[in-house]
Amino acid sequence: MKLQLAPEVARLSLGRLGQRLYDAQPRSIWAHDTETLPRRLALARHRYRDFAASEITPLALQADRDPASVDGRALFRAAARQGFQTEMMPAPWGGLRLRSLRHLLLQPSLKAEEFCAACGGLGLGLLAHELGVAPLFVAGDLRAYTRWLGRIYGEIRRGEPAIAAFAITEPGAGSDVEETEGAATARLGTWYRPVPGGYRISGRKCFISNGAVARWITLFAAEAGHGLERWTCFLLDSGMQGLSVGRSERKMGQRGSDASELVLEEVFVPADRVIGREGAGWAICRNVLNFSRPVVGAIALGIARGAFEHASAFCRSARLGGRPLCDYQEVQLALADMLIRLTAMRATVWHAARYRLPFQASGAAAKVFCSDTAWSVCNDAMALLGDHGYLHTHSVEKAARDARLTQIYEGTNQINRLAVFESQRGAEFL
Amino acid sequence: MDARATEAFAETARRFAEREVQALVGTEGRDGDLEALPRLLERAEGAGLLGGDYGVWGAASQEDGPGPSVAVLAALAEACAGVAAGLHFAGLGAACGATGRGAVAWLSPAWRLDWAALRAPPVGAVRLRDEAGALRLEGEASFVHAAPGCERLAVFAEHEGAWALSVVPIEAPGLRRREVGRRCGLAATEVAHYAFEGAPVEAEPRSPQPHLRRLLLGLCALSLGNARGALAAARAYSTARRQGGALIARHAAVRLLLGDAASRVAGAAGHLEAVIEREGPGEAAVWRAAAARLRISEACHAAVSDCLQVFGGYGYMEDYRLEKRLRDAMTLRVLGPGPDTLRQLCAEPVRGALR
Repeated sequence: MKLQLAPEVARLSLGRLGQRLYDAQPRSIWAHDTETLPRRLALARHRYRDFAASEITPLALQADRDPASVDGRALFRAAARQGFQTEMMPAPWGGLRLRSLRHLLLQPSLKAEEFCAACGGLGLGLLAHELGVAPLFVAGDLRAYTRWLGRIYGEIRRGEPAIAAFAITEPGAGSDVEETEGAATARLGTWYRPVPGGYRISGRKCFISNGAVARWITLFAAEAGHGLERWTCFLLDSGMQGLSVGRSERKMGQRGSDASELVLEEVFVPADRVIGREGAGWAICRNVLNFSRPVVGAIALGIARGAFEHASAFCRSARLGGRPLCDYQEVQLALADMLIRLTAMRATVWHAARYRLPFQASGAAAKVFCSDTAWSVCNDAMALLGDHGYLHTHSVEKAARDARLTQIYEGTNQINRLAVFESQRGAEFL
Repeated sequence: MDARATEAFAETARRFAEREVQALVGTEGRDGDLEALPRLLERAEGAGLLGGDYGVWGAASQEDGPGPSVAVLAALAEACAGVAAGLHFAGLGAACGATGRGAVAWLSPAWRLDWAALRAPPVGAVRLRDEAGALRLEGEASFVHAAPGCERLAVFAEHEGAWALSVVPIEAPGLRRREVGRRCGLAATEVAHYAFEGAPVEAEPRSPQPHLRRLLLGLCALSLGNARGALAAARAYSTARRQGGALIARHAAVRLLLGDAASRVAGAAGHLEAVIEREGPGEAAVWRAAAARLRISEACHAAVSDCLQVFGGYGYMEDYRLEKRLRDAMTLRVLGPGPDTLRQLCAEPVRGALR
């Protein structure tokens, strides 16, 4: 293209008003999008990106290759020093400003995109903490805010790795506890029985993100002899007698975050560790998923953006037939197509985050759309790199492996599609 | 070769896979027991699957067509696509003269694979330099796939404006090898870059087109076998795992996934069969193989992904080996020539390709 045809030069041929109506600055979509955010969130977005670049990116490949060699607790503390691990709640409990309650989901979505663009696994490890404390928040239990959330956040502010985990999935009931129809006939395997002063819980939970490193665990169990109507949320701490960590899973991707089995053998849980009320577990779980699924959409968006950024950098530097790859029209078409899909994903997540409160259809739709799209973007990025696409060193195949999990956790995409319909079944569609 | 004889080859491969390969894949470690691969390859040679006239891409395939080799590779890939790929690449090497543990060095980012490059070597191809009556190889070939323990390379190189084929031991002076490092899938194969800095060779004129055709058809077979294995595993899991009070095979969501996967696998099998039946000399056969590779690898990639989804969270863990199958499918989809190159090849109207 001749220089005089470049938009920023062509703009100068217009009058003053015409120039003001023509945004021809060669800026990234990221910069344009950030400009649409309230100032405080725009600043937060920059901070998340800076943190990801300095703390997460340098560890990403190593965490994928050898997860045990990366200290997740140190990363957690580094994020905590920035206030990132205590910002779900407003003062006096957390670091969220009251004005930000209007953007309850937008802020974690921005964080998820930036962290996971650097590494889906390490990003998940940091974000799963918020999932762990989410039941304390959504139960609306002031006693839990004051007594437990305040305490957990206090520990974090003091520099302790007070990581939280959210434990619902069981070996025989994965999707059941994430879907209404399955829930009615779910074969639960974690039970509690009332005893003087509290409860005894036995059973197993599996695939628990942060399970092996968590100090605090929000765990769901049903009263013995009952079903999900008596499902109850408890706050456990890792030091409780009878609570142990079983196997740590060997995953295809997101390997920088731990996923472990929790084994409960007659664990005594004091009565004041019930979150919400007895039997409120199902409602708490459903609402946690309403809050978390748009963030999973943002995780998928971040992973796909990471794949795009790596592919784009490769195409600028690699040469084929003596020319940079990005000089080829088919490469430009492929990169543009990825950018278009990333833009659509971000629009979906940000739209879901605009609701005053998230609801089942909005969260599930964002999660399904973004995770499916992320998978296709990452695979296209791999194809664009040709044989380089399957090499670990370029990070694109890692992103694809990371992206695949977003179609599975927080309910498989099949379960989420059913959730979208379920919540809209009786609604007027037009 | 008739269908019965081809099926006999496939049955031999299936029995070998059950006896030898499945144990190697196991359930432990990311990709199974890779240390056992050299011994496995020796056993494959002993079973007649590699080397000799009737091994994969052996001399008999010149006369009988690619059917038996494709059937053997697909049957092996049902157990492990990586092991099958090792036999595929070793067989391709042998077909080009690098017998035993050999491989073919050819493609490079320095040039672009298109019809012009298939007809005459492009700028950037490895070339043969004539030095006082002796031929010496110069240039670079990248992403050379081989079975473990590669000993010699068949190299397509430019000589006097035409393609020529030469064979060089990888220990030869003037040859440098560089491993590509950790990869997504097909861990049972080796991949390396080679730099030729005056390695002495003998050469004969040879077009790379028959090699490319075999390469593409073999990759189709690997994708298909891998997807068949994933489908069998997903079907078995769906009739053993209960969710919502019923076997998951009874849930519409799972049946849709299985149905999609099965129809994709059936479509891929039919496509490959049709291409093999129409095998013949000339560019039309290369074109059809390229079109088949493009569609079959995409379809099988999607089928394996659907099969993994049937397993839910368990599919993402190493234990059930679905994640390994998906990593292999992801790798098979993009390894050279990848989708964009294949699309460019298919864009050209080649006489007789569509008839």
